[in-house]
Amino acid sequence: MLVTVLVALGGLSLHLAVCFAVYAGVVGVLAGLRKRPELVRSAERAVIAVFALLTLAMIGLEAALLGDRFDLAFVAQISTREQPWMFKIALWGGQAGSLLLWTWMLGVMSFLVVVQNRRRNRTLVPWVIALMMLNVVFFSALVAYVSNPFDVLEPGQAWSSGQGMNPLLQHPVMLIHPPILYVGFIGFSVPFAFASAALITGELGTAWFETTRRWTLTAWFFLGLGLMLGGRWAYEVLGWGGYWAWDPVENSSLMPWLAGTAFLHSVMIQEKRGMLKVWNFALIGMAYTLCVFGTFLTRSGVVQSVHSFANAGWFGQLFLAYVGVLAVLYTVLLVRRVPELRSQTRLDSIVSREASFLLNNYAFLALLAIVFYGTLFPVVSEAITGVKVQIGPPFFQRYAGPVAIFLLFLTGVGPLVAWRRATWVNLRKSFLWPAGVAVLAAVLLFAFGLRRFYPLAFLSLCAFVTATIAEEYGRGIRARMGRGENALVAFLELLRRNQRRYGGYVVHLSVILMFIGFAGATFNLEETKLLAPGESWSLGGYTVEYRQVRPVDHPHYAGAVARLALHRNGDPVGMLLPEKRMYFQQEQPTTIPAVASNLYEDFYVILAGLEPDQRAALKVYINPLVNWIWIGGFVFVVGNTLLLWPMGSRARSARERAS
Amino acid sequence: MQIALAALSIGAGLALVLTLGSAGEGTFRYYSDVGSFVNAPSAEVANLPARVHGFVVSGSIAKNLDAGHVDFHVADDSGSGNASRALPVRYLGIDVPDLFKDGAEVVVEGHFASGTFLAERVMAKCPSKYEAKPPGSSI
Repeated sequence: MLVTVLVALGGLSLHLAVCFAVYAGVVGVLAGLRKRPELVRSAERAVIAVFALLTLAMIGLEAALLGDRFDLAFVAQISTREQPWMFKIALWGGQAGSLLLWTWMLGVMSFLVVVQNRRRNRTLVPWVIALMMLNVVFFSALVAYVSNPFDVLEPGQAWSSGQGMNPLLQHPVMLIHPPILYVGFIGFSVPFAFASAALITGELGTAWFETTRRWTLTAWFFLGLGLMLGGRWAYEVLGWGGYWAWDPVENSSLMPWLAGTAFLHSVMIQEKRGMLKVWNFALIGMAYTLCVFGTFLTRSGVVQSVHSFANAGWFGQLFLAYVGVLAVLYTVLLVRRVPELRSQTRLDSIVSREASFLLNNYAFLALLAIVFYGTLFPVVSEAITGVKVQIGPPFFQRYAGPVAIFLLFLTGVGPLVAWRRATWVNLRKSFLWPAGVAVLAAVLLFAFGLRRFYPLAFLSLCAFVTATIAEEYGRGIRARMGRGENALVAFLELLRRNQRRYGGYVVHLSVILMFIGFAGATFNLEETKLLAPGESWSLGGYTVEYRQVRPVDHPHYAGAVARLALHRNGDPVGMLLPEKRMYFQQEQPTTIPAVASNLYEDFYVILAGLEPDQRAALKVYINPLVNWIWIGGFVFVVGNTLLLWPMGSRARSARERAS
Repeated sequence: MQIALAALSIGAGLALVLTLGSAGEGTFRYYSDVGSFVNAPSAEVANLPARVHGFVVSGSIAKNLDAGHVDFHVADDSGSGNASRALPVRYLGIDVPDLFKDGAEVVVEGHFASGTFLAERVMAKCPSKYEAKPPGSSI
């Protein structure tokens, strides 16, 4: 009964949300034009209503999923009676639910923006509301009229249970990866709305990005975390021994992240030196447009991909049109303001912090261009020449590699080089010993037999950047200890007083750790062999003995699990149990890898094939240093938490000084 | 200065593109059906590695596990016993995907040499009506 009411209410709220969003948007524009406070308040109240209605729609759909309402096409498609509740509530398993989640998050963010800005940015607010509502209207209309999760099946088609979520997605990481990625994508809508509002109203100062700094950083953090979790899931579930395939959908979330990274850096130059104003507006516009474009790539099936959802032609066209409208609208707004945005300050020297940040921006955009080209070339080529040409990972690696080396170098140089014009003394003071460490690392690695260019360059630059970070922390801590603080207090005070700088270094450190993992990938080993029970196979210092294979019986799948005894240099490591499954209902085979992991390398094995005579085709991947990527991921979370944690550094230290 | 820096960067980018050559390695020409691959001019086929989409001809799979390869035919429809329209494929490996069987929809990746398509990768497509497609269909 309760479920019926909630579901009915949810379906209705969705339609009402569209109406209220249209109202809020229109009144927002009017309020912006006429500058009448009562109109602004009316728009704000409508935003709150939109948020409430979308929340009801979410509750309705969750109730339908938990209440096994298989008369709804969407529920029948992604859920079954037996599915554990955590996977039942995962409404991002299908397109309609994903879009509703997306829309709801937009609603939540619009609501928070309204609450945060009750007394701030009053001239910007009406336009911010209008922009946010433009997004809400588009997405809620899609959910309500094109891909509605509340659509009911014809009476004859209703089932007693559903098809269930794709078994590949039934993994703990998949419970958090999609929503985290969505927070990243949608979070960029807030700085985008503020930037647009600033361009419309002509309030071109720093308010638009200072107000939204936390939003931008949070969105960027979640997008990065989402990318990483996606890699982790691929590594654990897809059974191809890797974590990143330059798949179009992976690329589509990498692109806005790259634009966002460039923005986070260049905005500091505007703060400190009043430069790059046009550039910053352009970057944030690019970041959000790429977010929506990424969703289009994922959802339209324009490019073949792991994630591609059902091919819906005009659905894709609608989306593309929306991306086009956003991009054109924003470009027009920006171009109109360019004369006012010209900065008076010029770059003084190429050896300066400004220049290194600018180069960092070019490098990020170059990466973005490479990824964009590689992802869309097949589509463009087919449209122009009629020949479909596909681009694989080697293309991306070949072009992104040199840019990544350059970026790594700048990661070390940028934060330490002096503003305006660095002097020889400054350079020597900052870089003498990091450069020494880098050379030492390179010599040592070379002496230990590392001869390949990329890992050598990556690892010695990692040493260089780590040394610069250690130097910065060391210098700060020593200075404070000189004033009688102990080392720990000095460290915490340093973080508290200059949160962005020292938190930022921790994020840089996480990138370094990840690059150690990427460097290891150049030594990946991959081999397949057919073994009969009792046979052993030696490779890469390991010996793997195939003991036996056993069938696995389960209500939802049939499978086989191989028992492998693993030895490393003669010492037992343990039993590995790679498994193969075939899910009946979804006709979905899955391969569950077994991994023996340590800080040096992963021994990753899958049961690639099984013959009737019990001979097994084993595929082994030995992935050096891959764990450092996940360690880097953990440090990435720590660093961003340090950056976002409300420490109230400035206000508090001011008060302390006053007392 | 900024303009000089931008020009310098673009120059460096172009130099990078020129020194590293075109998008050669890792690039494939995609054929959405076997017919267009079989009928393509041999110069074109020899030029780039290819991905060919088709269906495994029923009864054509011959696993030669000891020699380390799997032979089969790919055609535009799975039932086609008409060998002239089918492309003989040798997969240079034994780890065929789970969904690889008679009639399966596949994409083979490799190159054509002396009458046989030598595949380095075989990707099988899931036949179900699922929204989320299996990883086998990835690029």
